Amino acid sequence: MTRSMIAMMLLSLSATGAQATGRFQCEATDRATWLSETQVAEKLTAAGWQVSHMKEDGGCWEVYGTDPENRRVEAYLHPVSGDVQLVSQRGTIIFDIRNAN
Amino acid sequence: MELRDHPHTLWGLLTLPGIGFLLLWLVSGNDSMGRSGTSFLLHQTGEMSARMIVVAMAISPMRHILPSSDFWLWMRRRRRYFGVAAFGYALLHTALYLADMGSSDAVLAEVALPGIWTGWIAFTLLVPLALTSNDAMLFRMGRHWRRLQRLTYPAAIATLAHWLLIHDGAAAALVHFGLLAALQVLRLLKTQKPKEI
Repeated sequence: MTRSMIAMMLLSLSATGAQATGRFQCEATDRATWLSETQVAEKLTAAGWQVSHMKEDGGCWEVYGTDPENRRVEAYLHPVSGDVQLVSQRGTIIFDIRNAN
Repeated sequence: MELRDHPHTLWGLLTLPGIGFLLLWLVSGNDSMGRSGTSFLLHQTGEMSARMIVVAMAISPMRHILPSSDFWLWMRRRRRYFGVAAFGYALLHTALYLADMGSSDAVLAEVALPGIWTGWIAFTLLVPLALTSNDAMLFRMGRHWRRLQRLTYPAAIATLAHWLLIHDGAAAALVHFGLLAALQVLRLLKTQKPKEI
């Protein structure tokens, strides 16, 4: 019993390795056309954000920082246009471009 | 063998990652690198606290599943160590969060978010548990001590909720607490068996 449970745990661990978190999926883009980290940070800073760090997730730039309203947020940006697609504050979605239009 | 049974050995082992976290916090400082360092440490301290809760709560079910195991008997005698460690890492986690937010206004501005208030509830529930996890309180409180310690269950549920809500991806949270839930179910099945015979 214990052995099968350990096996189950290892299986679920290996299945959830380096995967997209699934919070947002950007459209497929050519990696060569992407904005650089510096360009993304400059664009956001000019709009009143503070950028802490960023990583790729779901074909987007996922940026950690503070929005113009001084909220600690995670933002998904279109990697080519740099437009904000989704913003979540501590796991609560506060902006979703799919609902914004 | 003597080293293994010395209480300070386990204390030391459980504290060791915390010392590492504190040192990392000190060196990462407050520059822009410090922010990503802080978010790494927030993640690590929170996960460590949850892990200690899972270990502490797995001991009793494991004693039912493997009644003759010396290891789980040994663990049972040291269960409070894991509980206090869970509180210690939650305290470090909360301190990192408060330092990162920088002001009480900023903290209050997001206290109503589900990912945040579940964390505050989990932490608040751990406080009385940690304060009473010493021999003197155990002796003084008598049978009330066991009742108070049942706060562990809502604390664990609040911790799981906090983890699920605030973190991208539920996998790590579900692996930790899924295992614990499975153990609790096994214990219930085991303890109910004699009645059926």
